[in-house]
Amino acid sequence: MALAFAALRLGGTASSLGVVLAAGTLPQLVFALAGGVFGDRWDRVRLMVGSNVVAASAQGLSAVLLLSGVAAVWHLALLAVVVGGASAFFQPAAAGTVSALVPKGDLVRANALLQTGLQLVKVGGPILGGVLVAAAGPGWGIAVDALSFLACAAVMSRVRAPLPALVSGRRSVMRDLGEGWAEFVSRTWLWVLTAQGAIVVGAWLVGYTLLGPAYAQRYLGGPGPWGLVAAAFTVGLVVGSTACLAWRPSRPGWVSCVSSAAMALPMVAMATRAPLWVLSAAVAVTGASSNASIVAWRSLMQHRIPQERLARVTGLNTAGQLLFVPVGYRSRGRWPSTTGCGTP
Amino acid sequence: MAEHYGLRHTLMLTGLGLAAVSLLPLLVRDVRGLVLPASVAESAA
Repeated sequence: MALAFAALRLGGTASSLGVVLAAGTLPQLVFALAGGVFGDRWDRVRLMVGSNVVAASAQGLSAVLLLSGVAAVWHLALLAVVVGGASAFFQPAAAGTVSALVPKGDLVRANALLQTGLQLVKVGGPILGGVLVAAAGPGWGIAVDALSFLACAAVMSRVRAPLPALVSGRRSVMRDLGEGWAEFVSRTWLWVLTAQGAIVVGAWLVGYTLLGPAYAQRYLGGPGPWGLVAAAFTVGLVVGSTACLAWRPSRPGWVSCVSSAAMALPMVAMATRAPLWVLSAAVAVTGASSNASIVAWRSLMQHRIPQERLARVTGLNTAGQLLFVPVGYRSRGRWPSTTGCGTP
Repeated sequence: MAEHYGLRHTLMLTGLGLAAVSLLPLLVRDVRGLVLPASVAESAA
């Protein structure tokens, strides 16, 4: 949030905001494969700590540049690339660490707990970020974000995870990647659902994230009602992950497909000009079902994929699902004019 | 696409396309048959 407002305050347009947002996602896509390879080679806890320290440094530098008045949009974009890259190394290592720490029968509950915490942060984060940006400016907002990465690194460093039989670091990265790819394509369910995810995530980005605000501008009277819709989505996310603490999705294939299909509900609601409460309810259902799907999917991967290849397969899955996201962000500047709405 | 079909038509097409693509994997037996063990004991078995 602070990054978006910082880019706009520096004279950036919606298009340059798209560049900054794409800059955060593109390295996640590019480095997901490398993150997977090193997540199977190195101590995963140290990798997570290192990722957080790198992200803290990049955000800290962004804050210093902003507070000293010398920041430009390209500075923010470059540092967003570093933060996105750090995240790409964090995620596969985190998936492997959870799998190493938690008994297989408890994976669903563990992932549900992690998702619930993450969603609660997503509720509180924008509120705190909004207050900070409004009161002190984006620079201080990003400085607090940098400190949060450092705090996370400090907590992570206390985790003691049993080490799996890690891949030897002497082999070539390409060979390790090839081994991960062979594991990935050997499981039909894995590559089929990853391909589905790539299209669904791209369609959601266009239909909800990009066209949703344009719809709100034209038919709901502005960003105010869209805030209600966004809040309903967050409530749905929290409810979905909390529900998984009690409910165990035993058929993850069905859960994944049906919950993905539910993501169409808000788009159909907007297309039919449904009342605001119906749209909000549709968005809440989407949030709840998609989070239940995430919990089921992660648990399934951690359950089925061998520990020594889990980070690589997670990296391939992440890269696949993010495939069309940068394209969507870059198209952001094209939509408002075609829909007759002003660029925010 | 929105230029040709308008915002609401684009939303409807995107939504219906998303739903169709979401359900397509259910045609694959491997996807339909995925099971997540409900307990530690079942998992070990």
